[in-house]
Amino acid sequence: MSDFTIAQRERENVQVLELKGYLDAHTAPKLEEAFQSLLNAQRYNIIINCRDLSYISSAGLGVFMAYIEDVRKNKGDIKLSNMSAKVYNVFDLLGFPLLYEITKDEQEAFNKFAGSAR
Amino acid sequence: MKDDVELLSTFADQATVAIENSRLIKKSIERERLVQEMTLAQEMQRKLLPQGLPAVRGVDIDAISTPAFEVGGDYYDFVELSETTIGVIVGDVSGKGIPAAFYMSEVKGIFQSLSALYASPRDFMVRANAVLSASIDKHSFVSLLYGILDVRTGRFQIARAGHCPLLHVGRSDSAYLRPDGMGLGLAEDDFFSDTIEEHTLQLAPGDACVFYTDGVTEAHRNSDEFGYERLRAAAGLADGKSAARMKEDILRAVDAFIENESPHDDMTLVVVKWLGLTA
Repeated sequence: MSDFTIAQRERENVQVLELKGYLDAHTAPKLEEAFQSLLNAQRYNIIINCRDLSYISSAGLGVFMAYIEDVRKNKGDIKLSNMSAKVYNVFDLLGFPLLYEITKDEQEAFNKFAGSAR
Repeated sequence: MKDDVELLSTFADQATVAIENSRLIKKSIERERLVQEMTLAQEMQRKLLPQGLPAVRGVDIDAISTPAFEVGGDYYDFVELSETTIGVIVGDVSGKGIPAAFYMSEVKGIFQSLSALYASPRDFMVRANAVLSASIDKHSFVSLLYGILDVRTGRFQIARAGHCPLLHVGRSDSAYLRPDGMGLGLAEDDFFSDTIEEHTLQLAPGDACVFYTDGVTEAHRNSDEFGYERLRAAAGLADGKSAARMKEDILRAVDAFIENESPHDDMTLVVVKWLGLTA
């Protein structure tokens, strides 16, 4: 049930985290750890690719809230992409699209980083 | 000499077993203590929920909250604001465990004190966000759906803060009502306040409104969720059935869907049926 993995890769100056599986109270610490190590390495431009994210609970959403302030304070951002309709609905109900940039695909999120750096 | 070595070796083995046993006993006592604390938290949380249903003339209400295995964050409550108005609230605190239980008790305190001061659900939400934001940690938040029903007129004022939409069940149709509004604890006062709208629903006599938490719509069998459409179908139409009956119909449909597996999350349902009796 609690299967959740994160794959990390770098696209120029942007860090991409690909989430896969169930992000809930049990698996949220894994994502916290990933954010923490990005922040420790002073990497603040982050894309969360949700293509293979099958479920997110409130505890999972909370992880984004925990780090966004620090990331933005350092002139970076957390942008989310490739959400399924089901996952998007969870973000949308809570009003997250007002707080985060959520794009259809990763390229669009990447372009926004590239655009704001210019 | 050889005997001495064997003797010492036997003693050493016994000492190892004794140390290991003592470690296991300690661990088991620790675990027992944690289980006891968890049970206590669950019990306290149950006590935070209403112990009965409000008896207000002109409205038929039923409610249930079934906690999942862990301590969750579902909350519902009622407040009799006057002889003819009643407030109904359902919410969900993010996360699980003891922190969720603490925040839930805070939400109850906020609701019981602020609801008496604000006649508009929207105003209540804005104030509740200000109070909660000051104390909640930054990865936690709360979703709420709050309605104030005038039992003389059937006027139901609704505000939603990040919570699942309200299901309005009429005689010939049913629909979800989803006023805009973000969860509490996610943004500062002005930003939050701009997102919250209030909707007024005019009920017809016999109409019902279903408040619920995501444990209902997200109840799942493998990767398939119960979802909004099945919930709407299970509630049926306002064809004269009681609030209790509508609640039972929904619970039965969820149980049948998950094939009697134990639910993964807390599930809360509150059914408010306006009878339309005029005194």
